[in-house]
Amino acid sequence: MPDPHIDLTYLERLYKGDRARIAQWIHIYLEEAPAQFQRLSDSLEKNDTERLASAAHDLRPQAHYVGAVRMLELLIAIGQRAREDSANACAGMVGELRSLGALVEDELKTVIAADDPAKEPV
Amino acid sequence: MIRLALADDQRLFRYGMAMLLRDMADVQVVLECANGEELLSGLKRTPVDIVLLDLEMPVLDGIETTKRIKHDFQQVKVLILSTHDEDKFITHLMELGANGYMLKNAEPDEIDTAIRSVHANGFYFSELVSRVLLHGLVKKKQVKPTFNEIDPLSERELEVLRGICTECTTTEIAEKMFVSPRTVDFHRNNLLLKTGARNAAGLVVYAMTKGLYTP
Repeated sequence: MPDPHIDLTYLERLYKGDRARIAQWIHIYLEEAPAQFQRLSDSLEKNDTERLASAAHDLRPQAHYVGAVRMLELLIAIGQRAREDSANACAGMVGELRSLGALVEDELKTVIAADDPAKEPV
Repeated sequence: MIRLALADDQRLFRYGMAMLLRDMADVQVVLECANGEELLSGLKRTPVDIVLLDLEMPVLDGIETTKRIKHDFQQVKVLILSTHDEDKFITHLMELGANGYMLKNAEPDEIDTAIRSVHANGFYFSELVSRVLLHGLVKKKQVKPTFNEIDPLSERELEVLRGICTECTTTEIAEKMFVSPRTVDFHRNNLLLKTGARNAAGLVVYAMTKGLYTP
């Protein structure tokens, strides 16, 4: 089994291990994250440096909350590179981030499903 | 009860933080807003002790919102909660009169401590903020103590100032000095007048500038 891309230790500390609250948080993440990742891709397409840096910046707390270390590294790197160079220079990193984002979403869905055996992963 | 307002454009962060704050004793979130304008409008009808304020928000950002709160709602304390860890933001916000600055990845315990410290003492300096401010001051000019102030601080005022710097409450300072809390308030007001500081955070900055306190 491959290493997971998330580590929910911080969320567990934040909500004192309350699985219902953690699940609720994850549900909202799953609702909001696709639009935020889309904002990254749109900014890249338009070579909008400021918007790309801002979109990457906005996703940082979420990456921290779910313990997605590589995702956080990429978000920081995208922000820096976009401002120092251009949005287009971040294409590779945005691509990697979107793939990683999809894996993180899948893993989070599995977490929710495990907490609620009645439900299959979304 | 400490009444809190939460202003952040990210629903997920707002939700997560509100849920965390709900568990804290003597703390109540009375206002939730998605930007500075909503917050300012809410403050007109809802009494709030502390605002937890994000910096990057649409419509009205955290910097402009801090300025307006300090002008229009002087009793409201501002605790910045941001992802920005750059010196320029921290220094600027503290200069604007923010009562504290912390990062969004702060541990739950630190968030609790910060809220209580801002409420009781008027400020909270995380390790990051202390380092940034001290670094900025050292860069600006040599930090050294001086004895030739135009209006020097009295021994009692210095005692109160040191108490404030070490995050003691008025009552704790009063107990240490064997005086009443009212006397401590009197010295505190004199300190504000003499130093030109606007709040306890400003007093700490003054103490650090003058070499009277080193974190």
